Amino acid sequence: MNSVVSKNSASAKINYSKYTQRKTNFGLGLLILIILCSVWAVSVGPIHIGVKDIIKSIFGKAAGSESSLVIINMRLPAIVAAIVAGFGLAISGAVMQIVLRNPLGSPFTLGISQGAAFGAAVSIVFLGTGVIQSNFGDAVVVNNLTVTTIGSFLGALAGTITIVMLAKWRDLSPEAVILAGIAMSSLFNAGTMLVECFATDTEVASIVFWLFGDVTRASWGQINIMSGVVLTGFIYFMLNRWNYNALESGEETAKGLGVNTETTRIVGMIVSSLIAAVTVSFLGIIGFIGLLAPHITRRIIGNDNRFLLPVSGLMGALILLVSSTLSRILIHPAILPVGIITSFLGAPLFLYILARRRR
Amino acid sequence: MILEVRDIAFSYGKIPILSHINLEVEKGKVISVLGVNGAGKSTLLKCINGILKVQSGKILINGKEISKMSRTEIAREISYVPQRSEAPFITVFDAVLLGRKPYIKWDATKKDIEITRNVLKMLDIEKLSLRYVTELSGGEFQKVVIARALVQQPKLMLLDEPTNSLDIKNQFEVMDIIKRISRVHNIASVVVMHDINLALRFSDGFVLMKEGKIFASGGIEVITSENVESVYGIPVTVEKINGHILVEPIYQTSLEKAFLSMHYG
Repeated sequence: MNSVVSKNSASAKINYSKYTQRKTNFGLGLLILIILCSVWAVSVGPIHIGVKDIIKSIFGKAAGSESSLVIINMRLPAIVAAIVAGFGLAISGAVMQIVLRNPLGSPFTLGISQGAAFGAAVSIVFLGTGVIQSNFGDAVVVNNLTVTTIGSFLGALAGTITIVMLAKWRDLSPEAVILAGIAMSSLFNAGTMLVECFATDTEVASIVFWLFGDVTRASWGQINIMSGVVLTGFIYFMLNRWNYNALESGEETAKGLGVNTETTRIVGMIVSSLIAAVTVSFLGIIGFIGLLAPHITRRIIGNDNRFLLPVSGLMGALILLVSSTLSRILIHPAILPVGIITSFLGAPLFLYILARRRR
Repeated sequence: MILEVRDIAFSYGKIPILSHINLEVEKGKVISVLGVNGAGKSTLLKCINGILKVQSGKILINGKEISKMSRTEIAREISYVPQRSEAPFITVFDAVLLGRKPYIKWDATKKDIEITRNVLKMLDIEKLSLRYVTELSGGEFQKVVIARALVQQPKLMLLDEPTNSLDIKNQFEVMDIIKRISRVHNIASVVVMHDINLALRFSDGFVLMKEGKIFASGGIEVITSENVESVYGIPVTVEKINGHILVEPIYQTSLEKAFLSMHYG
C-alpha cells in the first residue's frame, strides 16, 4: 500500500493534501447519495409522486394538493427523521467506541437503548404518558412527550453510568465492558417485560412501539428537538476530535499530549447517550447503525476522527434512509419496523467485514 | 536547570513507591535512569510530567511548578513517550501531527503541518508519511513515536524504555536520534533504560534507582562495579574496551554451576 511515495518533500506535500482531499471527497459523495436517495424516498410509496410534483410541493407551489399533503405530512418527516437519527446514532456509536476503547461500543450493544426503552415503559405505564391513537395505520402517539422522553433519557443514563463506572473504577477490560453491556440489556429487557405485566393492552402497544424502531412516526416537533440535540452533540464531538485522536494512541500518550482523559471520556459518554436517548424516545430502538456506520467508514477512510466523525454520520444517515425507505415499500401496504431492516442489512454486512478483517 | 525535582515522595495508597527524590537536569543533556524492575523508574517519569500527583515535594520545569500547570501547559514543555504506545489505523503523518495537539485550537495550521514535515525529514522517515502506523516495524514505529514527541517542541523529553524490543541496529539508531536532537535543539532528555551498556554509550548523566530512592547520580564516575552490584544485586566488572566503558555481569548460570561442581567435586 502506498508503495509509490516520492522522496522529495514537494511531492510529499502534494500527497498529504491529496490524501486528505480523498477523504473529504468520499464524504461529499455520501452527501450526494443522501440527496438522491431522499428524492427517491419522497417519490416511492403507496402513491407514486413524480419529481415535478416533489419540487412544486417543497417550494409551496402545490399547497393543498394530495401529493403535497403526502409529502409534507408523511414522507418528508420520515426522511428527515431517518437522516437525523441515522447521523446521530452513527456519531454516538463512533464516540462510544473511542472513549470506551472498544470496537463493539454502541448505544445498542451497551444496553443504553434498552435502558431508554425501559425508562419509556416505566413512564408510559406508571406515569400514564402513553396512549394509542388509530389515526394512520397503527400509529402510536405519546401524549406526554416531555415526561416520556425524560423517562427514556433517565433509563439511558442509568445504563451509561453503570457502564462508565464499571469501566473506570473496576478497570474492566474492553471484553468485560461488552459483557457488562449484555448483562445490562438483559436486565432492562426483563424490567420492560415486568412493567408490561402491570400494563393495559393499550399501554403494552405503546411499549412495543419503543421496542420496534420506526422513523415514520416522528412529528415535525420531535424532529426539531432531535435535530437540536444531534447538532449540539456533533459540534461538541468535533471540538474534541483531536482529543479523541489522542485517546486512540493510548491513555498515557493522550495525557502526555495534554488531554484530560477522564473528563473527555465521561462527557463523551454522556453526550453520546443523550443523542441515543432522544433518538430512542422518539423513534424506538434502531439497532446496528451505531456499530455499522462507523466501522464501514473506518475501513474506507481510516481512524482519523477529523474525518471519521462527520463521514460516519453521513454513512449512518444514508443507511437509515435507505433502510427506512425499503421498510415502507418491501411488503406494501404494511410498514415494516425499520429496526428489522437495519439488523437484516447490518448483521450480515458486519460479519462480512469481520471475516475479511486483516488486522 | 530546565528540570528540578525537589524531595518528592509518591505512594499508591499506603504503599510507598518513591521517596526523597532529588534531581536536576540541564538543557541539552541525556540522562539515563537505571535500576531493577519495580525500582520506581516509570513512576518517576509519570510524576515528573504530572500524570501522577506527588504527595510531597516540588517539581519545576523551566522554573514553573508542575502542580500549578494545566495538562496542556505541561504538554507544551514536556513530551512523554510511555513504555507502550498504541498504533491506531491512521497514517504516519497524522500520528506525528497529533503531537501538535497542545497548540491546536480548532484545526492544524500550515505551521503545524510544516513542523511535522520537518521533523519527519529530520528523523529520515518522511518516506513513511502516508503509510499506516499499523503496518510499521517496531523500529519504524518507535521513530514515529519519538517524532510525535519532537513536534511538541518540548524543553524536556521523558522516554520510558524507548529501545525496548528493538534489534541492536534500531536500538543504536533510536538512541542516536535522542542524543542528536537533545544536542541540536537543546532539549533535555530523561530516559529509562534497561541496557546499561547502551545507556553508557549515549548518556551524559546517570541516575541509579533502588527501592524507590536514588542510590547514586552523576556522570560516568557513578558507574562503578560496587554501585551497579548493589543496585542490580549481581556482581559485575566495569572495563574499558575499544574506548567504551562496558559493564559485564559475573554471573554463573545454573548449568555452569552444575558443570563446575562436577569438575571440582
